[in-house]
Order: sequence, then structure tokens, then C-alpha cells
Amino acid sequence: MTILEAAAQMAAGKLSSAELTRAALASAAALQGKLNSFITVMEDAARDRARRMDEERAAGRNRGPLHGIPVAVKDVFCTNGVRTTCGSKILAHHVPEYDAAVVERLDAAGAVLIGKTSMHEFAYGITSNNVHYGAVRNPWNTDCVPGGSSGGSGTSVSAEIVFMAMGSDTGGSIRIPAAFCGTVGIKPTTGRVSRYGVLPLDFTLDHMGPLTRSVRDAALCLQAIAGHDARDDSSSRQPVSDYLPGAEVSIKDQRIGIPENFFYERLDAGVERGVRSMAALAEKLGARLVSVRVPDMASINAVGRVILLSEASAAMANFMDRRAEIGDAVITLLDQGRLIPAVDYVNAQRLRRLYQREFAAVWNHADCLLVPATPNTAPRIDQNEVELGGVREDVRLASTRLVRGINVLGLPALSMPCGLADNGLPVSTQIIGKPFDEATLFRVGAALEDASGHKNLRPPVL
Amino acid sequence: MYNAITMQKDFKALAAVLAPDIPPEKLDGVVKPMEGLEAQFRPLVARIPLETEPSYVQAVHPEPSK
Repeated sequence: MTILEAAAQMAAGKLSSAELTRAALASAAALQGKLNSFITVMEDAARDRARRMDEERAAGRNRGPLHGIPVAVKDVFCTNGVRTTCGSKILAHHVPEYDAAVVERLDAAGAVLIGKTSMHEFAYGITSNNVHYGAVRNPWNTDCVPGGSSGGSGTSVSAEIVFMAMGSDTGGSIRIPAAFCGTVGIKPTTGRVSRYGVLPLDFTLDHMGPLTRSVRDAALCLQAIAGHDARDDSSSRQPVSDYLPGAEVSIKDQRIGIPENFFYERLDAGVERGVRSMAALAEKLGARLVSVRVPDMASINAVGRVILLSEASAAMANFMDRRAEIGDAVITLLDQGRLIPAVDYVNAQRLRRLYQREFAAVWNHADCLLVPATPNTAPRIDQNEVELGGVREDVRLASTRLVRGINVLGLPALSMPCGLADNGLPVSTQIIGKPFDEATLFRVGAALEDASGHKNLRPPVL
Repeated sequence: MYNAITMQKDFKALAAVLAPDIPPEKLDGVVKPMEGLEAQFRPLVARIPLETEPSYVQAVHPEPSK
């Protein structure tokens, strides 16, 4: 069931928020041992909230499609009076006295927050193998990682515990778990969603967005949380579009760019098959496939790594005298960032400016790009390398290869399922758009989802 | 002769000065990926025109514009 379907049933009086929330809490408890989706479950608060939302509805107030819907947020979003660990031991007892802007907006939209999802320590990694809170496991194969850093957000949506879970994405941390878990995920344009009250990994690459069971659900969730916030200095005043595609959505004559360089190189065979089938489907639906060349994405990724290493190490500098309390993988990255001279950091930000200008030329030829989200399917929990196209790659660098550069460029990108690979794991398409043109991504995504049937995929753990 | 564009950094020497608390047995694991990144990043610097400003610049707004 999707948010739109649940909202329709609640509007018709066939279902209550209390029932949905009871089911979500029961499912969260039943699957915690298998998946480890949550760091904190807010059982009593969620039940109270659901009852109040049902009372409001009975009194004639309807806040919109999220009214009474059970959701979760990654444990990087501050929640008033509820601990917010950032997946770390150092912040294990951190209890904020305020809500993140996203949490405020979800509250205003009537959502029922049932808990804080598990994540990679400090959101700095893509496996969600957390040394302090345990490994998060993929609902499609519990020997595999769910992706990260928003791993618990991916598993809690994929396993149908909640209808939506918020993630944060610095170098793919929404789109990678969405891809590995078979859900939809949207990383919005820089400045579209407020970062206020989100514990930072980075200051210029962090983005907030939802993971959901369908493209339309992602659209209505982004609608609820997007918009200017004076408390975030990077927040944009650009007006928020209407994101939700209609029931009959057309992509006739839409120019969909298929990059002839970088994005289709060294892919798992199942990933390539799935993404090319989506491109063929788009053409069948009337879209025009356009071959385009994109700027040097490998170099943009390198620029992104210099920026991330520098900014993350600056953000965590005050924790470095507690290095014994930080996991090996994260402390290694934090140490690496300390070795980058300020000159290189500034030059990385200057190169970023150049690449942003170069990439803008792509939009003269295409309205959006259709590419894979990850070149690989979910790796095993103990796997450090993956072989793609005859080349062995570090799992983290391979999994971020097709997503990291989009954070550097600040562009919106939607990750959505496009089938299963031969190993039974989900594969995912990424649709990349112009700045602040999330509406096109949702329209193209909804058309492909409707025609392909890749929606609300049910993993074996259910 | 020193060439800022092409010269690869000695990250072990940098670590000794900037991060002396890195345990010796961990140093190779820290430094090796940096050498790979350096090889990719260093040549890019040569293409930056002098007037290019960083993507992240100071913005001052008259109150209460934001």
C-alpha cells in the first residue's frame, strides 16, 4: 500500500491512523532482530499522535495526504526530547531541545513519527555496518548491506514498516539505500529542503529527502517538506512547484538524455539490463531519447571527495580526542581529511564552480538524464571490493561512483526501482534533472513506474 | 624543482605534522587512498582560471532578507 492509497482509505473511513500506526509498530518490533532498522522507536508518542490525528479527522480537519501516516526519520534529524545519535557512540545520549525543520514540517502535515532509523556512523559511509548499533540488513537478502548512510530508512520503507522515511544524502546516502533496497528516493536540489536541525556531515554537500514506496509518494512527501527556511543560510527562495503527477501522466516529446560517456561504463549486467529497459520504455511512451556527452564525472567525483573529506573532518574536529569511540572506517576518513591543505579545499570549490557551469550546457540538449543509480547491486556485509567490467573497485567508491558528482553539482536526482538482477536483488534507475526541476523527475518517474509496474516491490523478508 | 601542479604530496610526511595521533599501524590505510585521490585531483588544479571564485562564497544580505 502507498501513502496515496492509505490516505484514500482513511478519507473513506475504512482505515484509521491508529490501525496503521499499530501495524507499523508491530512490524518494527517483529523485524528489528532481522533488519535492525531502528535506533529508537517512539512507541507511546506514536500511539498518542495517531489517536490525535484520528480525532482531528473525525472533527473535520484533514491536513492532507500525510495526515495520520506512519513515518520515520534517520537518526541525524534532531527531535525535541528524543535522543539523536547520528549513529555514533559519542552522541549516544544527545537529546536535542528542538525539532529539525523537516520534522516540524512533517508534524504540520499530520505525519505520525514512529522512530529514528539506523544509519552508518556519522552518516559517513555507504554500508550502514554500524559498530555501535549493529549492522543494518537488506530485506532482499539479510546477508547483504542495505546501502547507506540512510540504511535503516531504506529497510524500514522496503520492509513496509513505514510509508516514508527521511534520509540525508552527501554523496548518495538517499539514492544508494533506495537502490539497494528497491525503494524510491529523491535527493532534491541544493537549498530546496532545509538542513536546519540536521547534524551535519558536510556543509556544502548535505541534502535531505524522502525514501518511499512509489514515485508519487516521494512527490507528495517532498511537497510537504520543501520551501524556504530562514534558519538555513543555504535555503532557497525559489517557489516550490506542484510535484504530484496526475493519474494519467504523459512524457510525450520529453527529451531524455542518455549519456554516451561515464554513466553506462562498468555496470553489473542486471543493472544495465534494467536501466536500458526503462530507457526503451520511455521511448515507447513517446519520449525522445537523446545521446549526450557529460563533463568529466570522474574528476567531479574527485573534487567531491576533496570537499567532503575536508568539510567532514572540520565538522568532527572536536571529536578527534575521542577517537577510540569512533569506528575504524570512519576514523580513517576523518584522518584523511586532516591531511588536505586549505589551498586544495578552496581549489576544489573553485573547480566545483567550473564543473557546474560546464554541466549546465547538458540541459540545452535534454530535459533530464536517465542513468543507473549504482553500478552494482547490494554487496554482502563482509564484502570490501566488487568486480565490475573486469576491474576490482572498493565497494564504497563503486557504490558512490554514479551519485556522488550530483551532490557536487547540486542537481536533483530521483532513484527508482527498475527490476531485479539475476541474484534477486533490486536494481535502480537514477533520473537527474535541472536545478529546481524536481517536477520533471517525478513526471518521468511516475510514467515509467506506471508502465513498468516496478512499484511497492515486496522483499523476501516479508 | 617544485611544481605545485604536478608534484604529488608526501602524505606520510603531512601526517607526521598535521595528524601525529594517527597510530603507526593505521598510517598506510589512511595514506594509500589519499595518494590515489591526489593523482586524480592534482592535474585538475592546472585548469582553474585565475578569476574563478569558489562555489562557496560569502553572501551578505540586508536584514531581514533571508
